[in-house]
Amino acid sequence: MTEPADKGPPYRGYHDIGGLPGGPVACVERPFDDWQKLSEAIRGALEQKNRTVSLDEIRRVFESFGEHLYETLGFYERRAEALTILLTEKEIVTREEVLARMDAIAALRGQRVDHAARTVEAL
Amino acid sequence: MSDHDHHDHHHHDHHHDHDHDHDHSELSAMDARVRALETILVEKGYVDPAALDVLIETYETKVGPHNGARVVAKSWIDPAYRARLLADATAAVAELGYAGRQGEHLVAVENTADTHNMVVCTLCSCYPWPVLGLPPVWYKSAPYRAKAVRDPRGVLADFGVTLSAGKAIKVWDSTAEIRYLVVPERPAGTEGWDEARLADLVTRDSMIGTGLPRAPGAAA
Repeated sequence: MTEPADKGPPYRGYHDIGGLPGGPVACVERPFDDWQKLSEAIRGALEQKNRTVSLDEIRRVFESFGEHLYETLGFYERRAEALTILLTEKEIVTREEVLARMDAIAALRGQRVDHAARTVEAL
Repeated sequence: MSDHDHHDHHHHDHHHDHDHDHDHSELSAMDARVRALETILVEKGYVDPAALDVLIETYETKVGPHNGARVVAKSWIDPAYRARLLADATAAVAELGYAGRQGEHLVAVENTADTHNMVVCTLCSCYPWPVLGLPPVWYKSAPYRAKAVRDPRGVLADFGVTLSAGKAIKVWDSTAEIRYLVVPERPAGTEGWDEARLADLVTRDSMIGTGLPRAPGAAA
């Protein structure tokens, strides 16, 4: 068994963790939440539609949006945040538009959304 | 780092307005985000709601380890199929109707008396969706991604699996292009079993390499 290379750029991205000390593996099973499945479906539908968004682009975003956010977000949260950033880059949506719609959706249910939840702009 | 998907539920203001309908559970920020993206993208014509329904149904029912189990069981009773599977897994699983995204370049790796195979995606979460479905939480977790290539026997121990010391372990690191399916060894004591009965022994984890097939007689 060889020792892993030093962690940190420029030699190793924060997502490039193969061989670093890790474990134990928590062998738990958890069903997918509806929003997680919907998030994957949106990504898949955008890919199907003339490759509006590719998985490689999503990875490029969350592999470069900073280690703190990467470590803070769960798997599907990372992808949803990366998708939002990517759609903003492509000028398909604006973040303000998304935040306003989140408020509207929550208001219909008599709820509020905490926009301080972890995003690039909240950090 | 453990997987944090579930941490989403701690960050809300608890705003209760009893004039409104409270039949729904509390909306998390990510839930709201994804619904907001959905409605905006539908309005702008980037996403077809029917396409979303088809994709979600695919994740829920069409893809999953039941597909992989059928592939493995067939490979146990049909040597010609097994040869085709090991030569070109993408084509061989397509014979049974399994194809689609995240499975375009599938490689089947066979366990033998001498060798055990284990699959990981150290960089992210690549996984053979058509035959195994969406990847489990632990597959995407940092401990698994880090440890599988460094200490696969330790990972197997975490899963309660012990292999003989003489058995080699090959670890396959998936990429965005190439996905792997482990073909476990057929359990002893299953001579004469048909494909459906054998498929019941093939667990998801046995096709990732973090587990072994059920023993005949063990409860499914």
